Amino acid sequence: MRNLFAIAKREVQSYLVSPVAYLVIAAFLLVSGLYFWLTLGWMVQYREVPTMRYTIEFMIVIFVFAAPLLTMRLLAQERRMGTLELVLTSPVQDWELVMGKFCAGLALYLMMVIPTLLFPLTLEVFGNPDWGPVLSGYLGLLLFGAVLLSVGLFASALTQNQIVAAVLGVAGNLLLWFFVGAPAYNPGISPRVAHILRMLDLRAHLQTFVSGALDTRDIVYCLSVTVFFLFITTRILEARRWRA
Amino acid sequence: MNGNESRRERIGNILLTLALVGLAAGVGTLLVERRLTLVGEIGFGVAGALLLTFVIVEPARTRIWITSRQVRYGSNALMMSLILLAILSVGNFLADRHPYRIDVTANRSLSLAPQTVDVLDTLEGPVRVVGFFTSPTTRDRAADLLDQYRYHYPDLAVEFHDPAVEYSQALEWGVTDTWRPTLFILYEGRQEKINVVSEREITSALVRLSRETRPVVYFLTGHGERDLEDPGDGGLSTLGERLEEEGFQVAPLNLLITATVPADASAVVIAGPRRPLSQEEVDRLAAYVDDGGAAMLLLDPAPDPEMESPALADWLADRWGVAFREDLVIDPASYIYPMPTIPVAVSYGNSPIGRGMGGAGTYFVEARSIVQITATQGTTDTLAASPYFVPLVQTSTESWGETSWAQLAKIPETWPSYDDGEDVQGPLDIAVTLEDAEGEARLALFGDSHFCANMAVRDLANGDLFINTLNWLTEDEELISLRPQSDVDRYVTIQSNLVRNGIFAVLVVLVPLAVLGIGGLVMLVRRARR
Repeated sequence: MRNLFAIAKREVQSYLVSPVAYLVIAAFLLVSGLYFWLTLGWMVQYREVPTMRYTIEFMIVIFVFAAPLLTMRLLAQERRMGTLELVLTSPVQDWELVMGKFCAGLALYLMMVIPTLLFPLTLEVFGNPDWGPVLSGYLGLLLFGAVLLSVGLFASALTQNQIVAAVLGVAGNLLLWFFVGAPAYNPGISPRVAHILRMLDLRAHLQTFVSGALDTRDIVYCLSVTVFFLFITTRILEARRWRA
Repeated sequence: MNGNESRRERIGNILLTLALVGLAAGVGTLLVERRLTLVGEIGFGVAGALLLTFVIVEPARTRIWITSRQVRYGSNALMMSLILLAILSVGNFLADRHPYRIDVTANRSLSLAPQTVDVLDTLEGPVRVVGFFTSPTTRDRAADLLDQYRYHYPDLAVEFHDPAVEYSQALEWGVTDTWRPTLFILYEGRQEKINVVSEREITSALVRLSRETRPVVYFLTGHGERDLEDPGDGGLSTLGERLEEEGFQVAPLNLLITATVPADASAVVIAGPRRPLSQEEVDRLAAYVDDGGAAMLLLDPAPDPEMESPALADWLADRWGVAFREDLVIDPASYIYPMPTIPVAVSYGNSPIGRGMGGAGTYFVEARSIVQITATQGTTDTLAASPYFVPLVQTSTESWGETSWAQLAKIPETWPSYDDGEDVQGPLDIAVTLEDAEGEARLALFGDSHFCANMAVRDLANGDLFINTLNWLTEDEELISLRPQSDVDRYVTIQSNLVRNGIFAVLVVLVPLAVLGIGGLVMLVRRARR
């Protein structure tokens, strides 16, 4: 466990000394801030119920593409620079390494998300939003972040090229976000298959969170996907040991 | 030997490739056809046979592959991953089977109303819902909503069809208008059809299905009203059949013979009387309605004052504060071409009846307008606690109520025009609903009775409007409070542009700049330390 924290700490530190992290966070806040400001204007003009729903959905769409950028170097770089072998031969266990890297990614993710709490606070200052859906939406944001980061980390373990890792991660996230569920909306599909595809569809699980409900199905799904990808990432690292 | 081996290897490679092609063909047809077709079966069969042949032809290669370290560890890792996947799948399956949901919205807008849960508690036996949707989003909304019903009542089976694709199913269920959703709810051998996906509609349908007795609707006779037995253009035979189909019992009623409205009456309909009602009849009707009854009045424009019923008009004005105007509505903005005297409606205000229409159109043949008499106009001071007046059908702002019968008689040679001071400018109400403060006594007033006659009741959604109105009139008390909860108290207001720009400056400019600033600071400190 101590190893895990040490790895996470080291990774977060290396994130924070690079200018890229600040650029990514600033760009993210700029884009989501602009989007929120536009929806705020819409809410004021059409006397809509104040909501964070669309901004949270928008932020998750950005993360479908941005999460692999956060995770791409975590394992791929170690491998390219040859430090992975070093780590693998050290007394650090594989799962500690994976979890440490994952926690570092999640920490950076939180650094991006926490400033956006200014948005619902703005709504509170100029109106009276329903905080239930806001908080459940942010819980969804956290769980979805975990899913998207675990896919990105898995992609980073597959290759030593960061760009390839990022592309693979985005592809994986898009697969979960869009392509798995898309056939379910095909009119002719059998309801049972459609149901299973919707169960697998990441996007379908977002609706309950942002509309203000906590459903065990969505929470179990997000945790399952995260655990699964972290597990197979660990197995891949393990494979490095016995591969020639 | 060597050549033999290389040839064997080549054959092995070809076998593997062909097996992959067979496998791809099988999976491909499975994906396209969404079932195992003959082609798919052949594909899988050939792939299996080729793989088996490969094992026989290349036993050495197969052994090496299976026993190699990579495969051993790999298959170990693969097996563990598959086991984890199985465990997670079971977890998700169980979560799907036994969902638990917490509604964190302030007004519990994502939960079924307690009234709905009470209704579900009274049900016994399976409920089947068959839905027809062309829009996937509506279908999903229906699925989510019905999911909540199933959460409380597990014996509820749902099946959805796309009428545009599953044409035979749509034909079997008689679904003709595919542009709006159609839900059939089946319970105890009976069925209800609804066209709007909402908790109110579904629960109302369940209440109607679970009623022990069929509601009885009496049609007043004795004044030349439209007749339930009359199969002619002006008769109501089609409507009568439709009402029987929808689970109503219909019967004629002559208040000159019977001293009271029968106790089993769920509603009384007065459809287009040609002669006035007597004071006794109106008193009997009033006694019934005041006792928590429901009535539907369809009065056509009356060029001949002899047709008007003063007793009825007095009761409507004194008790309900409404009056039928002595006019005929001309709507040049929304009508059935070429007759501006046939107004068309596609929206139904905030009326609960209108919410069940799903935007379907209706039309009225020569309608008169209905007006709410405000207390200040003071026709009466006996007006009880103000009844709840809701417009159901409203004509356009360009319409007017023509009061000159002389002008109207010249149609179609010359069309009447709006006369300031004489005619009433639109929008005009041609159908309204009223209920008393307790929500027990209910009235539905229509300024036209043609729309439900044989000539028009099958057109557009005219029949639906009549049925929905009757459903509302005969609805149980418990559902009245099941109106959609409003969010009117939730708002966000920003008065000045300065504040708006200030928010922009802080959220879009300052916050990202601050992050960049912190980053710059960190870089500087690090450089200084070096």
